[in-house]
Amino acid sequence: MTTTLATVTITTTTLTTATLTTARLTLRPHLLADYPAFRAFWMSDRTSHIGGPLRHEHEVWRQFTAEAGQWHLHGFGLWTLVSKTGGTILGWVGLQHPPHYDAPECAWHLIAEAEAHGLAHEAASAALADGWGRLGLPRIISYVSATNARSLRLAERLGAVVTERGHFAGTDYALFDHRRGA
Amino acid sequence: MIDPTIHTSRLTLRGLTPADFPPLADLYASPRSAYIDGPQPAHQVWLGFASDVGQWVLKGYGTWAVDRTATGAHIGLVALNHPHEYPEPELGWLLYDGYEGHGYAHQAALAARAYAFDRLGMPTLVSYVSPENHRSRRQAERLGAQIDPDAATPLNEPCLTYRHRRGG
Repeated sequence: MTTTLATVTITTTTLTTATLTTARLTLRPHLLADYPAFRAFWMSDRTSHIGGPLRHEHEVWRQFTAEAGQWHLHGFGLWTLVSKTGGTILGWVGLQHPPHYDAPECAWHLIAEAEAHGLAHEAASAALADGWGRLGLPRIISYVSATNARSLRLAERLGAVVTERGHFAGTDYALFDHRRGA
Repeated sequence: MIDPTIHTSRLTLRGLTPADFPPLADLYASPRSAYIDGPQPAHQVWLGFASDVGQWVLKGYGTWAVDRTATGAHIGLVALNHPHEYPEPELGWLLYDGYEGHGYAHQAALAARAYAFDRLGMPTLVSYVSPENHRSRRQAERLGAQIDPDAATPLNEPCLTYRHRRGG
């Protein structure tokens, strides 16, 4: 749509996003209404392996908006995981590609109550299939903290293999490469 | 509706793309970033950059990339910023090295401000300026903004708050 004001011309654009469904989950982009759940998660010890906990509200808001913004920059991002039955927010899973990453990363961030039911595996499998399929990505990786035993096991269960070990921002990590068709 | 493209007489204001990140990261690695909370490492700059885009998605206003229409050169950013630590929406501008002194920041800021007032219906905007940043202070004054001594500042840190008023 194009509008002309006094001295300028304005052309509007719209956002492209994707929504996925799995057996138990809806994976949809971030909504403003998700912020309280996001804030509670990022201010909790659950995030100690992924750069948290964040101490200040403005850091949480920056993280939230940055995750939403990646959709518009790259055409992919993290989804909010919503339970199909209760509508509860269970976590955030999907693909992200900050420039200092070697390739797009599949990340899984689940709230404590959602753990141990195979939901991270279910969501990450859908995200990987979307990355290989719809997005046609040549490579997908996951950075996992070397001390995050549960996440290391999930990466292995997803069929990913460790191709590098390193250290970034105070954390020892394993870099997993996901395999198409794994 | 997100990041609309705006054409002024000499400039194009458009949505950010990943290609706009390297010049911003370079600026934040340089001493020129002293007035914009720099220097900062690239992964922090990325978080802010992606957040600027996310603000469009979630709130309907945000940062534009500014290009010279005649040459296509990407010369800076202009923004309607409202991160959590800002008490109210801010009109901000930033030009890359070599593009100052041509009135580009003025023209870009006028267009962004008109968008905020005329399209979004915002009644007022502020510009937070470091007291030692004389160039930006002159810019704010040229835009007709006036120091608001009573305004709350981001994280209560000392800075000058220039206030823009619709119809003012």
